[in-house]
Amino acid sequence: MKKMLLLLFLPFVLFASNMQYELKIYATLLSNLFPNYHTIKVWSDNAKKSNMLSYLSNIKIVKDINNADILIVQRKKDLPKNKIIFATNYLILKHYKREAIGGFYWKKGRPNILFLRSNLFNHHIQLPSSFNDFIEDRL
Amino acid sequence: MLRKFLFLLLLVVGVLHAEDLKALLSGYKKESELSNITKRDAAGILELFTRDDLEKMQVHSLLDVLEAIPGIYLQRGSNNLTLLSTSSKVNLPLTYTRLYINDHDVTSSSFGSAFLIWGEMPVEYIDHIEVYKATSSMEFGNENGAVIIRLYTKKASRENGSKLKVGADDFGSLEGNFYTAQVLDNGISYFAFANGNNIKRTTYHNTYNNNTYDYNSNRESYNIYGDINYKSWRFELNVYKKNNDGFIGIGSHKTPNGGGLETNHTYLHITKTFQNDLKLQLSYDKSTYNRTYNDPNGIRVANAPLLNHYGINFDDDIFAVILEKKFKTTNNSLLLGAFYKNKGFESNGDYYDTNLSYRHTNDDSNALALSSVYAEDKYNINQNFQLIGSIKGDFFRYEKDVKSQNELLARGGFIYNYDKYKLKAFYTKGYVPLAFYQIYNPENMPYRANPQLDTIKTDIYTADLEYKSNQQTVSLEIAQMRAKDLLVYDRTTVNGWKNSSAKYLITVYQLDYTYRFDLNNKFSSSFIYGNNSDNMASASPFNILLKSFNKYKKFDFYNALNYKSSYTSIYGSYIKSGFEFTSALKYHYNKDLMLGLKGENIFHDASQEAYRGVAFTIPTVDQKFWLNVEYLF
Repeated sequence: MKKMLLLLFLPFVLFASNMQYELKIYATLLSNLFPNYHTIKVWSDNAKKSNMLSYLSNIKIVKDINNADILIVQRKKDLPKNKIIFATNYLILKHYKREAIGGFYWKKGRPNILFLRSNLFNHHIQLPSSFNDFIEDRL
Repeated sequence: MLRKFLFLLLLVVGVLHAEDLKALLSGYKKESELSNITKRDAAGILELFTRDDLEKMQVHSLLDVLEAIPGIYLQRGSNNLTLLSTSSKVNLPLTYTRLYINDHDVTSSSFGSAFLIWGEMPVEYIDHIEVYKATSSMEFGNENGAVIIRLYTKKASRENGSKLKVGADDFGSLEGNFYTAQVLDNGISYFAFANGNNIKRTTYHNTYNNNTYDYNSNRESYNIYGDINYKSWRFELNVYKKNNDGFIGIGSHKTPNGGGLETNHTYLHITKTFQNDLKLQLSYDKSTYNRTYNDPNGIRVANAPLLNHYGINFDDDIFAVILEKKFKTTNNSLLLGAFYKNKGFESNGDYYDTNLSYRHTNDDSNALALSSVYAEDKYNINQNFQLIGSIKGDFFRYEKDVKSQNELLARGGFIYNYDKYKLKAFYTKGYVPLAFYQIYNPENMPYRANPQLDTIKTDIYTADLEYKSNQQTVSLEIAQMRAKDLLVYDRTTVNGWKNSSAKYLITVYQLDYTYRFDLNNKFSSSFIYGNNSDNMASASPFNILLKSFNKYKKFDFYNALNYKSSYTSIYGSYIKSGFEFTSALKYHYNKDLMLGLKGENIFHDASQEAYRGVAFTIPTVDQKFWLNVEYLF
């Protein structure tokens, strides 16, 4: 119980204000992408993101990429096929536009969240209708 | 503890719906502002303009920002150049205000001030602006100044796209700019910006001997900026070219006929950051400043007979290398730095009367090797108490004629935090740098210069008490400057400028109150009072600046009221109090297309300025209405 308390409490005192928002955004995205998962297994090549997300109680950071439910990707690399990819910058979303379900990135001087309809469909992901504003047919 | 836990549990689990995402994104954007990273709490009294502020204000040029700084007054010289003054005191020495674009000091060696060239620069490529008042430049590792304005350009990694902006005002002014930025596959990122404008202003008229003469102050300018980043390298190129009308000029009867300023400044700045907190910067500046005054009724300079044409050209070449290293431990942060600048200066003058019965030309050059070493230490005694100390030595060596000078700067102070309160207090021992035009002109024509001049020495004391809660900030700031070895201009001496034994004291009090309704809505108010030891106000002693930044649905609002109290100018004219009201409305048609309407000095009641020999006073800013269109793609 103590550990759980710590896990829930720490994100909001340890992180700078912008990271608190970022954490809440990822919590919202992941909860809606995997609504029925008790624990969501996340792999990322971004150590800061992994560290940040590890403070969320329903997230488990995994080192084995094949074990992950979702890959949060910052750089280009060979990724296993059929994994759910989520990009952390515009360049990488452009690179994986045929595979990635979406991304959270800076463009035009503002942060953006975008999901690609066809890639969501390929992964049988049905987001709530309230997400429609964030879903596009193409990048 | 249990209540906190339950609250946080709700916070984590409760944020599950997309409706919240837009609000979260908005909050994330606000809290990720680059100004949160660059601002330096210990550097002085800070006035910050975030990107969101600048966008709501619909700023066109740096002038729009300079007129919205509490306690700093924007003024216009009789030759149409940007000057700054503070409460109760006429113009700050040119060399005492510094302008930086990123880490580059855009200062001309001949004038010692960037504002003469860059004061009206476009700011669409600027992300945010920090104005440090009553500071010293040690922590910026550059030349000394008491007001430091730092402009930070937009970052390619945040833009990843392009923007086009066009605007027009009711005078017929036009402005257009474009920028594009990209992060490439090969790790290179770039940002490129271009701006062109043709700004028209009110023309005033003066009648002399039944002839009417125009005071024009229009300008045309072009600005190109490029920034390339690759790994730990950064290359910046900035080119700014502007033509200004001559406004009132310097004729004996203020009857100008043409004349003006043609100037351009280009710099290249290279920054290399090494892994061990070592930073190396190299830069090269080239600027040309070509000033012409024409007056059919005579211009009186030095000992020459009455002139009708006065033309002078300054060419500056500045090469700089700056090296800095930081050493950090848990409780201590030490910065060691050094720089070397070589400032070359050339001037060519041509002065004659209409009949060419008198003509004088001159051609001079000199150079300054300025080296500097500095150190700054910040030590945390505990979590709440930080001590800050810095020391700097500046060594001036001229190529010829002008005496060498060594200057010492020192600064010490503390920051103490207690719950929602913060107390900052600093003492700075410094000096006001001299500009070439004050110390070098072998013929003393058209202006006199004294190569034996000493710098003005200053002692600045500041104290700042702040209370900050989630929604409110209240602060009281007091800054006092004592100056000695003042410069006075004595017409009876050959060299004009000399040091006087007189001392000067100026004290400025500032009370600020800010209320943040939410992330997008805030109101700020500043009340400033200044007095000086001359017991006379040569600028408004009392200033109130009220600003509100708001957002409602698809609309952004900015409203500002700048009140400056009345005073009697140094030329004896009474300057009535001014109310400058500015309002801007922006409509977001969608995320990428914005339409803006901005009114400047809407009630046409802004503070005015007096000019020697001019029978009437002239407002610093015009009553203007701008229409803007912005498109992101």
